[in-house]
Amino acid sequence: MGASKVVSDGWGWRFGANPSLGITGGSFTIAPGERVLLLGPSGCGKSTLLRALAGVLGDDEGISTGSLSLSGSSPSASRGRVGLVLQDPESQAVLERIGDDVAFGCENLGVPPEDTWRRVHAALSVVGLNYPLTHSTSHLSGGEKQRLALAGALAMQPDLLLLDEPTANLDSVGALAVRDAVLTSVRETGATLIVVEHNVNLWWEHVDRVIVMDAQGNFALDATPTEVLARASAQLAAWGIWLPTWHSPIVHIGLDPESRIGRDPALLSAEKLQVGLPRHNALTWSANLSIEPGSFHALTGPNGSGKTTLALTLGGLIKPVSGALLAATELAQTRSLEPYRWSSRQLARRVGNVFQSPEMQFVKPTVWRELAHGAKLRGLRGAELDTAVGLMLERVGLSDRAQAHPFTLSGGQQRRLSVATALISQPRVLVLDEPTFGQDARTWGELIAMFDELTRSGHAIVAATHDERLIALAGRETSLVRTQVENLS
Amino acid sequence: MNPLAKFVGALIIAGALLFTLSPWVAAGFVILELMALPLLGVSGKTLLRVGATLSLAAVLAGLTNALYGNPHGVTVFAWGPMHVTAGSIEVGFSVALRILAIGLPGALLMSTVDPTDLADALAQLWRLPARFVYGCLAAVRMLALLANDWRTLSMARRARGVGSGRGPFAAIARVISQAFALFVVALRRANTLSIAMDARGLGAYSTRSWARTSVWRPRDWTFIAVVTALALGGLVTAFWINHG
Amino acid sequence: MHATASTNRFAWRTVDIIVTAVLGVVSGLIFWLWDQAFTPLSAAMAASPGFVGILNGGWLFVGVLAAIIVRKPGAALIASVLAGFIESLIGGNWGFANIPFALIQGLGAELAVAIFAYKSSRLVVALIGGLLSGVASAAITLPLYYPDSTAVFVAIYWITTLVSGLVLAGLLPWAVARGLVAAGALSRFPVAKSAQVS
Repeated sequence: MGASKVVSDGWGWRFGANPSLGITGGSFTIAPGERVLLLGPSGCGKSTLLRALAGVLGDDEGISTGSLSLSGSSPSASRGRVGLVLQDPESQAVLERIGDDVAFGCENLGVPPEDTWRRVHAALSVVGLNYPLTHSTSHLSGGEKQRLALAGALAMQPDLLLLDEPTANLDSVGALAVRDAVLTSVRETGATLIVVEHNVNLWWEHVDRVIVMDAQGNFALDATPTEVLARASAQLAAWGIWLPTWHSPIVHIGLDPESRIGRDPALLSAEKLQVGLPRHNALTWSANLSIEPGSFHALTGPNGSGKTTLALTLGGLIKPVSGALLAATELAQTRSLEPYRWSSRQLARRVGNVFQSPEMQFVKPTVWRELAHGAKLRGLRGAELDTAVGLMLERVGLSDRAQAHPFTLSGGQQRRLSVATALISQPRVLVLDEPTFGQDARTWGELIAMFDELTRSGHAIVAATHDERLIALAGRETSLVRTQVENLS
Repeated sequence: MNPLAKFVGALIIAGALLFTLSPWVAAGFVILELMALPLLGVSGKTLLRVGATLSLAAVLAGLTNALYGNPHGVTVFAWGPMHVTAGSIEVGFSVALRILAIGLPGALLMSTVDPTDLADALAQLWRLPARFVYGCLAAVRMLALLANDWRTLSMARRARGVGSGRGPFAAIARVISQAFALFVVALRRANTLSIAMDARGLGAYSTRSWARTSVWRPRDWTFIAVVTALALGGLVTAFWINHG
Repeated sequence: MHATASTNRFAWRTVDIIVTAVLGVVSGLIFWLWDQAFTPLSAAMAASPGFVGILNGGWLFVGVLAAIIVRKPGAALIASVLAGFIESLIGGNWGFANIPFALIQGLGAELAVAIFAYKSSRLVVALIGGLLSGVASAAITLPLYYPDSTAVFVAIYWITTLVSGLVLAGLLPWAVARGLVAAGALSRFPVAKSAQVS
């Protein structure tokens, strides 16, 4: 146990194939036991830097310049003394039982079994996962899985702890739990800490230093948190980096709860609606909702409360367990008023669904064809189709990527594309699941502006989200807690 | 019982039965296996599920043999290339029973084995390289996630207005496109998992410790011995029936 | 002992292992789904004089896919065995001892890439792999499932199995690999870096 001194000596990285894709890098020195917050716009190379420090960036993936050292050794020689927690909680679990999963790292290090199990118990208790060791890793919520990944890293008693957006998938309670677990652990072990996080408020008071990377991957700024705020707030905001002083340019989206209630008939109404995934137990609450044109409706609640299930049900993709979900006749324009019973073509033209993971929804090999697919559903052909697709590309800023494969776009671009593909069929209702996930401040602002414009033009938007900043803007909110639903305003 | 014992036992039975074509021996094994169920802790529900799949495969294979086996003995039915005779029916029965006899123990034994325990046994007792064993185990664990991803992909496609084409070719094209998407999603997960496993030090040190010890006990040897004896007995019986 | 610092072309990186295994698992899942959807078809095939060989290619798909993507010795075998394991896990279909079968059938794909020294993912490699897998498949399944069959049946079975191997386990995996490269899903593999998938 100890702490790493992390030194970058002109380190930079180039992804072999494309010379312009790279990280310019630079130099920095992090003292043992320091806590650093690493910031930068999306795609600038923060994750790559963390992976390089952990010694898991393969030689085959690119070429490095300069060097990185951890207390004098190279990262690849220090593998096992560095803990790395990645963004995706689902794909980090290795073994079926949580005890075994946490023990995995210790086994690789050659730790004797008695010590291993002691460390496992300690790590699980620090992160607050109070389940028996035989509990299945598949039966954990997203937030719990993330804490499990953290426990697995902590059990290895690393000298350096690297966290790549550890709270991105978590609700506010879960995020605090993870943050506290990390701080407790580094306080006890004295390990060095580097955190990449969009949720800066969570960490700002607790870090010693902030390092900022710009879009090219330069280590542009390296200072204490107060200095950063004093010197470079405007600069960083322009780069799209979240800061504690950031505030949204738009303060309100969608109808006020008081205004216009009852003036326009609701496009979708849910009465005593009970939802549940097929072959699972139904959720115990029942909801009454009224989705009116021009409204922005946030579905909120802790992880596992059923926000996604409710959103998918409202979107006509899951059959309601009981109660009624009916569309207004002007929306349905077909015999059945139940969205679940519409054909997929009918559904796409009436309700647009945007999933949390945009990749799940791509069906064509180029961006242009993705949009053309949606436009065809509207009945457009030939020149009309080309115009419509061109306009939509402009609107979401993807004109220069029209021939790219959707899977090769950056996260922010994929998000905009998935919203565009839903919009191009001109549905009146848009249902989104965690739409602001993983966005930096700039792309977040662009999305919000789009939602504002949509509600002003009469669309209705429903968004399942745990993003506090988004919830603060929403005109309507429905909060789902395990046994009850509250419609807030 | 050590999972490797079950694994090897299933292989021994399969191996022996592969060399016999006696319906009596095969039938005998099926009965023995069904009687051994409670001893090995297999649930009735599992038996039904496994039995149904195997029975279907057995029936279809048996039917094919009856229809297209070389003609021996009395002709029962003939039409075009089909020629059902007493001899081909007997072959059909043999094959069907053999499928059941070989498939049952394998399926039933493996349904009581925990994959992690099997992996531990393979790595500790047979000394297969840990990276491969646990890498494969982690991938198998991902199955539930991937099945879920399949369902999400189906919903996503419905949401995109895909799936209104009629006819079998459109249906096949849809499945292929969705299967491809599943591969892409799976490869993303594989990439994350591989980074995570590397970060946890997989393969970083040449000596690795074991948090769970896989133990080979005398009862495991006993099990193997019993199974081997039965297998040999079956072979001998089959030989005696056919040539005695 | 550092896993990342290896210059040996045949050494397995962690990502090679995981991708091989995941390809096996996904193939097993997809084949099971396919099986469920087309059960009536397979039943009908059983009544045909040997055309059931057409379905054999589905089993062989995974070996060639893993072989041309990962290009390391044993990839086809590992992926095949895992696909077989998944089949039995969810389908309960242990047939004639899945694992030895998977190993033998995977050998066909293994041979094909080995002939080209694990350096190529071209169409011809995939086709040869599919063909050889088909040979292995027919050679073991025929005596075990259909031990004493008419010459007509045997001939048709061999032909359909080989054609199925060529198409479902040759052309198809090659097309899928190319698609995956285009989707950026294989950036860490040589098949994406060289222009060799032609």
